Amino acid sequence: MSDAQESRAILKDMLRRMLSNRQGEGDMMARWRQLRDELGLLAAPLPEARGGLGGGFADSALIAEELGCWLMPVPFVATSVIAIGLFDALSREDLSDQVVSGDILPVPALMEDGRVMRVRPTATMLREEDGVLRLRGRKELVEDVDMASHLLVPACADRSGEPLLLLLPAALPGMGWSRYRLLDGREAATVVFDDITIAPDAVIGRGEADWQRFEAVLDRAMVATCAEALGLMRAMLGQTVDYVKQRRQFGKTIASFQVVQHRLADMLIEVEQAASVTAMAVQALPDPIAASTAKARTSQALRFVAQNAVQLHGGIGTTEELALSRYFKRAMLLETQYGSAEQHLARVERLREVERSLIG
Amino acid sequence: MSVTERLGLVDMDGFREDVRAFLSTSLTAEMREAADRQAGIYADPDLARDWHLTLYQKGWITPSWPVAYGGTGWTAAQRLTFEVECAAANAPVLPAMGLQMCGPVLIGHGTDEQKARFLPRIRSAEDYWCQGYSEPGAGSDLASLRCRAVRDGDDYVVNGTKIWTTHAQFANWVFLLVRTSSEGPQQAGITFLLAPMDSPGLTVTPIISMSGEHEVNQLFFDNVRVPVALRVGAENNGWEVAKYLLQFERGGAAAGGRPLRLLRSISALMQDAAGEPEHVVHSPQFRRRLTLLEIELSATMWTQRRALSAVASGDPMGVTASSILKLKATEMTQMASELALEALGPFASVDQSVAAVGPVAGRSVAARYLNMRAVSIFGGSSEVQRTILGKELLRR
Ligand SMILES: Cc1cc2nc3c(=O)[nH]c(=O)nc-3n(C[C@H](O)[C@H](O)[C@H](O)COP(=O)(O)OP(=O)(O)OC[C@H]3O[C@@H](n4cnc5c(N)ncnc54)[C@H](O)[C@@H]3O)c2cc1C
Repeated sequence: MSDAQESRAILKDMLRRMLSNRQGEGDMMARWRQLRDELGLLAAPLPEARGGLGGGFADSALIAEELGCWLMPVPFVATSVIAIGLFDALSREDLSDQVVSGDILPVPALMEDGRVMRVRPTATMLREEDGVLRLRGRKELVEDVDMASHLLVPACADRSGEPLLLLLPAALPGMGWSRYRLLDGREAATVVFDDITIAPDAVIGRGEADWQRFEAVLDRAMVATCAEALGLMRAMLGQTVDYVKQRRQFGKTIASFQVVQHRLADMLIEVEQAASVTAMAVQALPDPIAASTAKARTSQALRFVAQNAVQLHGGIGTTEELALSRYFKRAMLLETQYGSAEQHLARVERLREVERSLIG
Repeated sequence: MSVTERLGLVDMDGFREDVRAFLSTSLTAEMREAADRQAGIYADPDLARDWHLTLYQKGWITPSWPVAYGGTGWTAAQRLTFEVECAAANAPVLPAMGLQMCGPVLIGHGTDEQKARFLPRIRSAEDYWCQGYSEPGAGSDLASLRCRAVRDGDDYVVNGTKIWTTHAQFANWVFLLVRTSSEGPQQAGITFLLAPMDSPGLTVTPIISMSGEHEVNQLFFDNVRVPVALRVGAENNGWEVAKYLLQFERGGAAAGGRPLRLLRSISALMQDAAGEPEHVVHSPQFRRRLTLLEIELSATMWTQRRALSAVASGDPMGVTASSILKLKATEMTQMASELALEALGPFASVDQSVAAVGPVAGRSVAARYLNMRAVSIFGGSSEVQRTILGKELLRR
C-alpha cells in the first residue's frame, strides 16, 4: 500500500468509527465540528503540501459516500467541494484556509426560483455607484442556514450583466430570512436582499472566466452528491437484505420468495451501475458530460433503490420510526440536488450535440 | 369529451349532468381546496364528515348498497360515472372502512339485528369504523393471525394486538379478525367480530408515518370482552366473511379515483409554471410521461367498466379483474405522485408541515409521494396480487 492509500484507509476507518456512534445525533453542528476538527475532514482532500492526503477529489468522493452510508447530512459538499473548490480556483487559498479551520462556513445560495434548478443568475443584481455596492434579489432553498457564517451568492452586474460571485456574511443588515425545514430535518431559508449594501471585497469572482470556474466546481459538487447517494443506496440495500432474511410470512422468510430475490437483484444492479458512473465521473472530471451522466443515472438508481427498499419492508417500511424512512427522505433531496435526472439527461443531450457538431 | 364520456358509459336520463350539477353546487370551493391539501390515504375526519353528510342528505352516500338498505339503485355504469365525476371534481376521499368494508359485510353476513343497528349509523356518519386485520406477524400472510378470542359465557375475551389500523384514533368501532381455533387449516379458525373502541382493555398507540403524519395505529387487546351478539357470521367462519370484504377493498372503488385527483394537482403545478420556460413540465419528456399515464388511466377505467358489465350480467367480479384493478390503481397513483414531485421541482425538498413554502399547488406533493408508498403494500401488496394473477391463470 502506498502512503496515500494507507492514510486513506485510516481515514475511512476513523470516519466509520465516528459515524457509527450515533450519540448526539440531533446536534448537527456538534457532529460537524467533530468531523472537521477531530478528523480533519476538510483538509483530507487538499494537496499534501496543505495537510491533505493527496488523493484529491477521489478522497472527497470517498468521504461523501461514507457520509451517505451513515446518513450524516453535514455540509461537507457545500464547504469542501464548493467553497474550498471555488476559493482555490480563484486563487483565494486564504479563504480556503479559513474554511478548513472552521473560521467561516460558507453555503451556496444558488436558486432564484425554487421551481427550477438554474444557477446562472438573472435577477440577483449588483449595482455599483460611486464605489458603493448594493444588492437586490432573492435566493430560495439555501441550505444549512442555521450553521452558515457566510453565503456564496452568484449575482450579475446590473449594467454589464457580467456574472459575479459574492461571499457575504450571513448576518448583513437588510437581509430578509424566511426559514423552513427540509425533509431530511435540516434548516433552509429563502433569503431576500432588499437593496443591501455590501463590502467591495465581498466580490470574489467576476466575469466569464470565473463563472466557468464556478460551473466546474458545481460539476464536482454534483459528482460528490452522486457518491453520497451511492452510500445511501448501499445502506438501504443492506438494510433490506437484512430485513428480508429475518421477516417471516407463510412459514418462511420472505427472502425465500423468488420475486423478492429478483427485486434485490435489480436493486443491486442499480447500485453497481451508479457506482460505475460515479467512478467514471470522478476519473473524468472536469468533463461536464461525465458529471451529468453520473447525476442522471445515479438519480434514477436512487429512486428505484429507495422505493423498493420500502416496498420490501412492507408496512414497517412506511414508518418514521425505521431509519430507512430517513434514508428515503434524504434520497428524495439528493435526487434533485444540483439538478434532477431529467435535467441532466437534457444537459448530456445538449453537450453531446455540441460535441458532435465539433467533430462533424 | 370528458373522462366519463370517453368511458363510453351511457348517460341514462341525463345522469351525468345531474351528478355534475350536484357537484358544482354542493362541493364547495372550500371543500375542494381542503381536499387539495390532503396528503393522506383518506380525507381528515372533519372534511370527510362534511362531504359525507352532504352526500347523505342527497341520498347518495351508499350507491353500491342494495336499495333496501339505502342504496341508490344505480346501474354499475352509473356508479362508476358517479365515482369518476367525484374524483374529477376533487371531492374528498371518504374513509372506506364503514361505507365500503363493514357495511357490505353486514349486508352480506350480518344478522337482522346487526343490520338494523349499524347500517343506518354508517350512512349517517354517526359511527366511524376502523379495520383490525393485520398483526405484526400477520401481514401478507393474514391467515396466520394470532389475536385470540376465547368464549366465556355470552362474551368473547380478546387478547392480542392489531397493527396498521388506519384512523383508529378517530374510530368508535373496529371490525376485526380473531383466532378462535388452532385446529385444522389456519383459515378455519378465524372469527369476525365487531367491537366498540371504548371497550375496557382496548388501547390505541399511534404509529407515525414517514411523512410525519399520524394515519395508522397499533391496537392492544387486554382481556377485552366482546358480546357474542357482535360476531358476524358463524364462529370459525370469519375467513369467508373477510374474503368477501377483500373483494370490495380491491375492486370496489373506482380504480382511477386517486390518479385522477393527482392529475389535477399536476395540472395546477403546470399552470403555476406557465411563465417559466425552463421548467421541466414544459419538456417533451415530461409531457410524454404524462400522456402515457393518461393512456393507462383510460385503459384501466375501461378494464373496470368491462368487469362491471360482467358483474351486471350475473358473473361475480372475478379475482383476475379485481387484482388487475388494484395493481393498476396502485401503479398509476404512484406514478402520478412521482410526476407531481418532478413538476414541483426543488421545492419538493421542503417539509411543508413546518412552514408552507413554494407554489400553493405543491404544498402536499411531497407528503403525498411519501404516503402513497403504502398503496402498493396494503390491501394485498403488488407482489401478492401478481402471485394471485399467476396462480389464477395457471389454474384454468
Ligand atoms: C398506510 C397503511 C395502512 C394500512 N391500513 C390497514 C388497516 O386499516 N387495517 C389493517 O388490517 N391493515 C392495514 N394495513 C396493513 C397492510 O394490509 C399490510 O401492511 C399488508 O398486508 C402487508 O403486510 P406487512 O406489512 O406485514 O408486509 P409483509 O407481508 O411482511 O411483506 C413484506 C414484503 O414481502 C413481500 N411478500 C410477502 N409475502 C410474499 C409472497 N408470498 N411472495 C412474494 N412477496 C411477498 C411483500 O409484497 C412485501 O414487499 C395498512 C398498511 C399500511 C402501510
